[in-house]
Amino acid sequence: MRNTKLKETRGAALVTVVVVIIAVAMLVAAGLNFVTGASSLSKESLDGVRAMYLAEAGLQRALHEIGTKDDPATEEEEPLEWEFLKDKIRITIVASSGDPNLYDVTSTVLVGRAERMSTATIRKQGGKAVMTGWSL
Amino acid sequence: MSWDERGLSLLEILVASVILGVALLGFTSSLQFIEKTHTVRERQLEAQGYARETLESLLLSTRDYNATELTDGNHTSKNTEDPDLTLPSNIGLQGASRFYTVTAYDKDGVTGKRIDVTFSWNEGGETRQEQLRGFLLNPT
Repeated sequence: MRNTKLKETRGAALVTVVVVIIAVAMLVAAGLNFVTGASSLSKESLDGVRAMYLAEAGLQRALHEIGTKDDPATEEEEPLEWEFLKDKIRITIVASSGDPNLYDVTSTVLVGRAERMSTATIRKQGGKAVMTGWSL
Repeated sequence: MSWDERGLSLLEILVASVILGVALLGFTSSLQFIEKTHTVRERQLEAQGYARETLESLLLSTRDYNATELTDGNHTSKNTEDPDLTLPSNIGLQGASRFYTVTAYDKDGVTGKRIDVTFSWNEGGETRQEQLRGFLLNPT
């Protein structure tokens, strides 16, 4: 009788520890997963701000293109690629329908996994380019 | 009760203790990693905010392209002109400072000024930096 009771309780310590470890490991894994996700979001947010200012730089480059070229419009599907140090800025310049001196400009930059785009309307007047509308 | 059964219980407790100890060590380092990652990201975001403040003020479209604060070189002085590079006294980052560099850009007929704003601070004996880059086209 006594032996039977002991046999029943054998293994409880190891089994309990294993169960506890699995439970805590699952909690830690969930925590790690959450923090990794949050960290990735923060990284994307940091990269997004960097990309935003580079996209603005692309609009400045578009001002130059429109101000100095007779036909600054970029080919469809072939944007102007500006290598600004180690970053690549893609700029599309499309002539606005109805007004030959008005252009719709889009500047796109990818930093890390964050892509940002700035758009602007630029008017060519008197050999100069002037930004008339702008948005992020 | 036989000796075999007694020995197994003790052995189990020992094995269990070792496993638990190793697992706890692993969990502790995981938690430390979680905390460190979170802290670093929070500080990076704060640092970028200060860098952004400076870059924004330099990129203002109304700013004079030939203004003193846009001359080539490093701008590190805690001047009183706009953009003021001084930082609030209650800033949470240790040894924080910010400066910006203006570099002439001239490539493929495009001339302008590249502006790099750097915010640096100390963390655990290491100097960390957060940098933002902008560009101003030469209007002439």
